[in-house]
Amino acid sequence: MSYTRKKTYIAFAWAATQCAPNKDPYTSAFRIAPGSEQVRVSAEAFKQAVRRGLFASSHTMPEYAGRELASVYGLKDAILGKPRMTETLDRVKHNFEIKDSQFDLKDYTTDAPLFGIVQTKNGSDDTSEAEAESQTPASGKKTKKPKPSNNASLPTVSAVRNLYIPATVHPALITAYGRNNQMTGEGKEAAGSNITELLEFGYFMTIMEVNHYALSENIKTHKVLDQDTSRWIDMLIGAIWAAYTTDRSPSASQANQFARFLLAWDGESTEDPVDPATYLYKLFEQPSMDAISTESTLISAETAPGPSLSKALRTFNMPTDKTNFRAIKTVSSAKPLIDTILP
Amino acid sequence: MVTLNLRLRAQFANWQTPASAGMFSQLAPSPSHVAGMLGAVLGHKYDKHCTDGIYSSRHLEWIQKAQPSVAIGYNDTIQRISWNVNGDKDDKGKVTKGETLRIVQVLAHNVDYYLSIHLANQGILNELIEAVKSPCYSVYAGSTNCPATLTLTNEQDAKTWVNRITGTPTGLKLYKINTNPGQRLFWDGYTYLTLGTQREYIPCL
Repeated sequence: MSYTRKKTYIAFAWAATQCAPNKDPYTSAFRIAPGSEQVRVSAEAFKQAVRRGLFASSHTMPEYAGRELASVYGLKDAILGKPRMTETLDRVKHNFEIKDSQFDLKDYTTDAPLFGIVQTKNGSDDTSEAEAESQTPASGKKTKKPKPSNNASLPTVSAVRNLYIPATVHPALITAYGRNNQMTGEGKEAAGSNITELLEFGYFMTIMEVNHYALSENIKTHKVLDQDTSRWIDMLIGAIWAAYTTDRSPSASQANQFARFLLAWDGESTEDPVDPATYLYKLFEQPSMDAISTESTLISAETAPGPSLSKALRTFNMPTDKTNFRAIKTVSSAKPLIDTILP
Repeated sequence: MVTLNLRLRAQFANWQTPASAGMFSQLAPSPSHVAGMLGAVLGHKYDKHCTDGIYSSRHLEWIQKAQPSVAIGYNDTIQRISWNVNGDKDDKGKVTKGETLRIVQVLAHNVDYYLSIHLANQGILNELIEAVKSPCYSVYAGSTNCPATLTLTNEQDAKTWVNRITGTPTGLKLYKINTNPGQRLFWDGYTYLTLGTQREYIPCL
């Protein structure tokens, strides 16, 4: 095999208090795992948060100086609005003064080489097909020639994935709060009211996997940053941490989410990985949900999840020597837990 | 003919077929889904556009050489879960200019499959075993929001599954591979499924 087998694993945990990390857009209900009452966050929502971190880190890169707005294609942000491919294409084209009618988003942005781009309808480059289409088919109807897309690329393979999506490591308590709507304008006699559900407390954990081969393939034609896989992974780690510390969402329902710890190490793919959130969940099945509403209850001496967490992470080939970690980040409240995990 | 047994697990799976009415997952992967996953572990990246999508010319060559056929068994704890998300495209894959679109998704949840893959010869089998041990690209169960792990089966797996797959797995016939220029790969046939003690044959495209 000529390709590298190397992977980087990132274990990331954060705590959420009185907020709504992610809900179903149709039902506005939390994503609750059937049976276990764990609250989940979709991988898409998590990646949106990381994109915010990538956008923040682009401000520190000289390569993107003055062109930060074109550094992330799928950013959901108050400044950039909702993420839409058409708008991003225009923004990248304008910022980088691209003259070609077709270009590849993954060569200019930071998130496309990491998270990939899925696009299904993109014209055709099959010459035999073009020849076939030039002939009138038996039905007599003329077939439409495929329209070339502005983005010339084939879909970009995702190099980073949430191998296990973020989930609370305990059964979560959700409370419905009543609120009065704002009463504005004349003729309104009374304010309406609504009910909003909030997660009282959630200690989330996820495992991400970076495929070095897929990443190196994605960045080898990058026009802005260099082709150093290591630098890209460090950028990703910084972005994850920033998204839950210095560059958290300003949204009232999402602001109360704070990073707890991040461990990153290089390893090869594993035979039989274990989802740490499911593993840790077993420790918290017994206490009532009301009891697990604070972090201090979760990380108490009685429950001591460290050894179990350490065991779960070892299925991802976690190093046995502290010096072999790519990154260790922690806040003071999670330090006792980290001390029990690390070798 | 040689056989490779694999285990495929994922938190979520999105097995779409032309009959699945949008993002409504089937309970088990079709043969063409399995073909795609084998292409990912082997590193056969798509390199061509065609009228109904994309394909890898290298993978088409491999399929003609390896002559694979698949039998699939799955456990009876499988269920579906509603997993709606915000999206950016309409159902035809076109980029929309209006509000961000919501996508209704119904995914298979906590899936665990046993794949029995028949291959033409030992050389191809050995190549595939190496690729599964250290996959070139990551494996996804139908779409990129469904990460999956594909592993070789061990003795314990074999003992667990031996009672679930009964009889001779039905091999699949390669039905249509790029028969017309620009046409995408379809791998037709019948997937052999077991659901507890009940046996079903489900046609898949």
